[in-house]
Amino acid sequence: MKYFKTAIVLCIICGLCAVLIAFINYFTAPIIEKNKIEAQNKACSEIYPGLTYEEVELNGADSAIEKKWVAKDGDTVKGYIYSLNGKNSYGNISLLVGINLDGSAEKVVLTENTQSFASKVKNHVKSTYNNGATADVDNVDVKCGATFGATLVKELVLIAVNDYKGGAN
Amino acid sequence: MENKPRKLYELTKGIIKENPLFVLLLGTCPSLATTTSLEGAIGMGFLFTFVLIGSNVVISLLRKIIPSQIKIPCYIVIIATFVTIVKMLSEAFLPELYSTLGVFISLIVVNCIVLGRAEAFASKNSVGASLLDGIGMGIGYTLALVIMALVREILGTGGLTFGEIFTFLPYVSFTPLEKFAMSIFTMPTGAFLVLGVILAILAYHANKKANLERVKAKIEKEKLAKQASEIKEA
Repeated sequence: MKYFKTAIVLCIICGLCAVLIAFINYFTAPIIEKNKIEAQNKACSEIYPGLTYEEVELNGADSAIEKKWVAKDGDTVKGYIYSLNGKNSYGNISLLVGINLDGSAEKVVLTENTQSFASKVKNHVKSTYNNGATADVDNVDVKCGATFGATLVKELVLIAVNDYKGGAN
Repeated sequence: MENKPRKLYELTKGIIKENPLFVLLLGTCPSLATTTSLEGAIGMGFLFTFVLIGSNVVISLLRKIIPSQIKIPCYIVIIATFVTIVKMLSEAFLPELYSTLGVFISLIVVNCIVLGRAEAFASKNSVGASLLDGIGMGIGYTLALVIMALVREILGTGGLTFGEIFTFLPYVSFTPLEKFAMSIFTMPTGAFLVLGVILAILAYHANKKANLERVKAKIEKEKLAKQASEIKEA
């Protein structure tokens, strides 16, 4: 009887907590989704400003690729934007990679960065990939990659480049 | 009448006398990681205070219902619930703060101040006292984070920046000392240095006060002994 009461109390507390979380989630989930879409559109326009973005279906792509858009200027294709997500011991990284038609990386934008050294990753992306990066991204220097997620960023960029080169577009 | 000073004590003890970071030395890990900017520190302090107040009140409310064998799992479930709520709310309404603090929002669950206050205070005291304790400790921790962040941001970047994380504020960057900025202070090493210096200053003041009282007591004792010997001689 004593153990039964203990189990019941724990179950009730867990149940109440679950209801409370579900209640808050009901109100915040649409706002979070809206924020993510807004951030993604803003980021897409940072890579290819003033263009329209059409989502492309993913066929047999790497699991790190979440979405893919084709950036168009009217009917002319200007490039492709990849949304990628990766994880390491320090947290998550979501980024958008713009790939030009010649296979070079146009720009990389961080959309989610929960790394312990978040600001370092941000600075690394800014200094390494946003100064006219080329297709030769595997030769980009990684400063102390093991410590702040730069290796993960590099891997994700390479996945996007390889997907484009592999003809998945 | 006795109740009022006690309430005031519960509220103010966490701010200076029992400051969780500078005196009790609890919650040092997130304090080192989230104090690179003043805005980040204020945000972390605000979220932490919300979790502390919420968990303290709920644990105090349920203190007679929770069996002693499962009190720690129950406390963790309650604290984790508040952390999840804070995480969802910050992701929805303060997305910049959410992405800046990153994993450290989730890590509030294992912050020893929250679990410590639940076990040492909320589980033994009334809801009102637990609420005041939560507010006081939350303000104390936020104040400590703000002091550390102020020192680190000014020394590390040469000034202060507002509106980067709290995007509802106008963006203002005031960095007159940018030329003399020492980037080591924005790194974990700088955080350890700042915390160490602050703790040393506090220890110096505490020792100075204790020494002064010891000297005063010694003089008083000698005075009394002298008086006693004079009386004896007379």
